[in-house]
Amino acid sequence: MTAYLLGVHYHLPEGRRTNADLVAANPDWNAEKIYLKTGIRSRPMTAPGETAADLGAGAAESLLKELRLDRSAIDALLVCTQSPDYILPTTACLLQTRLGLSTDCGALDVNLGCSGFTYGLWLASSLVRSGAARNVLLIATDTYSKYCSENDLTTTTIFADGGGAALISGTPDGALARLGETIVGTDGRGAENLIIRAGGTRCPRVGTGRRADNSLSDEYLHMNGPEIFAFTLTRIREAIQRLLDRLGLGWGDIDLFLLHQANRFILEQLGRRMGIPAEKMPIDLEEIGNTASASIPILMRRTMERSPDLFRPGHRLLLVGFGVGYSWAATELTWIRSHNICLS
Amino acid sequence: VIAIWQALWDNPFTIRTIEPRVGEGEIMNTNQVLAKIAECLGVPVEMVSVESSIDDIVAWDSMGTMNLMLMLNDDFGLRLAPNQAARLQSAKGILALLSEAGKL
Repeated sequence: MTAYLLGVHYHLPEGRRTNADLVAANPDWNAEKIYLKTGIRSRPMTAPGETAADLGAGAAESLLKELRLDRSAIDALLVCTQSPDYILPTTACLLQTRLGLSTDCGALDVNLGCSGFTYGLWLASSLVRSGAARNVLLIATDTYSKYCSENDLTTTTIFADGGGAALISGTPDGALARLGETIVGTDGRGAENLIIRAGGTRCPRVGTGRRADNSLSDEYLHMNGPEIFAFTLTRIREAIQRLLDRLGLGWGDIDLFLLHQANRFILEQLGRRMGIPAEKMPIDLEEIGNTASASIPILMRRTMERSPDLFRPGHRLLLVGFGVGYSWAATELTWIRSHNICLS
Repeated sequence: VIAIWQALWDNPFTIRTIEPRVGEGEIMNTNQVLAKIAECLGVPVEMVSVESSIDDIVAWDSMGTMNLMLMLNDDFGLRLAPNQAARLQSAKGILALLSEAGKL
């Protein structure tokens, strides 16, 4: 059986944090330099008490409303998040009832970050192809901003909050795209380079704030930017090449590359080194930032709305997620139909 | 030859390797490397000495370190092994890397 992408949508919180806000909290910083280094001017930010589940629910509601799909037809819910409401139960259980899905619907969380949406597509299409599910609702939602110290230039300038949703089905009726091959990869040697050490069972909560030596508490997100960059430059090109080899395609056969929106510097370097023209690899960071697992569905939907000509029947797309873990996944899609979002 | 041309024609965006600007067997002196470090960090060359490190140059931040990584890759053909980026946090570390690679 073939798996199809029926639709994709997203939801952002109303709150925002601008570069000027960051400078107000850190007078030594410079708003324009933050923009030049990250490509980000402002970031959607959740309010206290607003969670990734809220954003995921918003994205899913928008998607289901647009698709006019009977909710009882959804028989699997995958929620990719590293910002769960609780340690347990899983966010997927909370969203199953909140979205009014059937109690016969299987629901589980996938604990992955920036590779999560493409991993989710792999899992959803596998469920559909195997016949285990007919319609899979995939939600990728995160609020990394809640993990960032407002004084950590490395993380708080980049990470933002957002939720995305997609519906993967065995039926081609009204489908946007046909889901093709996926390659996945993992290298746990990079675990220390993007990590929140405290809060799990290995290291209990230690109290937020700074230590006596002025270093950040282990409850904050720690990112070793240069190591992440080195991983990205080598692994992602190899991963895409591996997928192209499996498909028997060349780089020029791909019409659109939708990459996880890490930061502008990394994306521009990746694009340059892979020889991908800028018009084939959109960057949408200025007002969105890095929304972790939600970045690809947000990028996809916003690019569909802004540049519908990039999504023509027969076009081949590569979706590439990469990050914390290290973990990465790349999926190929073949576009089926034009989609006039403005009328929907 | 025809097959190669056909492959290039069919795959115009094949991965290209960025050729190192410092040729095989060519070596640089310490001052030339310090000048490259300054260029990567966007600071005057006078600001960078053998003793310089991430602790005393503000521009030597995460992004500055990434620029240094690109310089080592693009100019010297050096690709860092995993978890070696800490060696890019001081001029001495960078000089040692280049010395080990026979580029200094």
